[in-house]
Amino acid sequence: MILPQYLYIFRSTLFAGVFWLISISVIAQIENPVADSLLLDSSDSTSVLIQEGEVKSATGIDSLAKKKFISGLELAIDYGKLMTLWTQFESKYEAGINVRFFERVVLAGEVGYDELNPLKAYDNAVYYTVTGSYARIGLDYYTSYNPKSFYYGGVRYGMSMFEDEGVFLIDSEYWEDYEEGFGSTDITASWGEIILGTETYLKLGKKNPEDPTSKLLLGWKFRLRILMDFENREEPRIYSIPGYGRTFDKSVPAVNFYIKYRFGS
Amino acid sequence: MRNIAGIIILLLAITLFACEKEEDCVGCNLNPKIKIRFEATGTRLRTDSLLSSVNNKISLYTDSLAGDLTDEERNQLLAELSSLRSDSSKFSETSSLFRSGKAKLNLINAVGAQNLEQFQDTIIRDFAIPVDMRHDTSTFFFTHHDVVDTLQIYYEREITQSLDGVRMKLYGIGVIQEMSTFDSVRVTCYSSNCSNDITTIFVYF
Repeated sequence: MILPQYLYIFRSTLFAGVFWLISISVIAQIENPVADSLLLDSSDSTSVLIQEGEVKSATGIDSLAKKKFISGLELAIDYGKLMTLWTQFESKYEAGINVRFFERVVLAGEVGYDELNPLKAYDNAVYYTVTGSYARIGLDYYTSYNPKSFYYGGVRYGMSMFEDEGVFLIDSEYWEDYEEGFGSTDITASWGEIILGTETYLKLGKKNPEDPTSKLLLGWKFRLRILMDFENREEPRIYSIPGYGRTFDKSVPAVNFYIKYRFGS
Repeated sequence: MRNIAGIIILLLAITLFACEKEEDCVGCNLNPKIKIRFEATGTRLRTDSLLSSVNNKISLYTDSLAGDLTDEERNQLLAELSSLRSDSSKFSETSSLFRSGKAKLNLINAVGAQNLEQFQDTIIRDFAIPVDMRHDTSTFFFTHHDVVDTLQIYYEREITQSLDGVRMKLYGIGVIQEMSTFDSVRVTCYSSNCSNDITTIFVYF
């Protein structure tokens, strides 16, 4: 049994760690000059090595028409969610697969599984658990800030299928306590998302640190989730939807931190 | 990097100092209650009548003391006067309590529960009594002013949700008259739409 104060310390440390990772991402991006490296043909090894002064001329010679139709396949893992495995209140897993078209447009698919044990969902719950899986599909559009960092915006459609279960207790000073279980199965929900994100190539293992290409990318994205279809139970209300978040509002902001491996050029 | 490290250390330090032990009491003080008002009507009249009778006797005995009496008779009268004055004082106190709209409750017992200690030897008028959450009726035995009265209350239980958690509310609160030994009982807002926040049971004795 983890004491609440240690849990609180862990959560704060986690927050600090995430803050540190974001800082790395930001610092990595401001070290380099402004240029749209996505306009460079990634299959051309000479174009990615051009220096700051040459970027303008290089961007001028390329066009979307020259890009490959499918220009890459990427696998992503949400490491921010993996950190929840050490907490008492939730365990989350999320991974994604991206197919990149013409370098700029990405067809993204994400799947995840959540087991949520929100300790404060109900003040008199003996326990309460929400478990379920979810999937999202959507498109992203990329633009580069410099040869190794990108910004992107996108949209998603998400669906979740889950169940919840709990037991609440009403204590009595004189009679036997009242305890009752509640829960539902096969609950479904769907939502839309607007995404803004950024990612940067990692230098890890690179012999030439000036070479912006890499197989690994580190990134984070801000999501605004807008609930579309969900019918909550009368009472007690369902507290949370895996992949979406708390049900108290029709829109929920969220941030994901991920690391991505890129196959191909 | 120094700044980032500094922020992390600062956050950890704030965390360590901000930790407080949380109270761990699940579901406490959530037992639904029904409001009851004790109204001394018949008992008040009886008490006033007794008080008047005792005071008359005191007056009569006091007058008798002025007459020719043997020592034995005088002592007997004085003893009876002492007892009557004690009764008068007691009835006067009770009458005064009733006039202020209150009553003295010695004890409440309930079927399936022990003595409801919080009401033991209390002066009451309006109070809220916790009920049995596992049944649709609760039966109480009120010991007050040297009598024991029974009250059986029925209700519908409904689970509701508040901002904080899951609660039980009571609707359609009523009294089983056949089981009541009070002079009379009246229920305000006697309806399945009225919850225990609104309904009050007036108990007349």
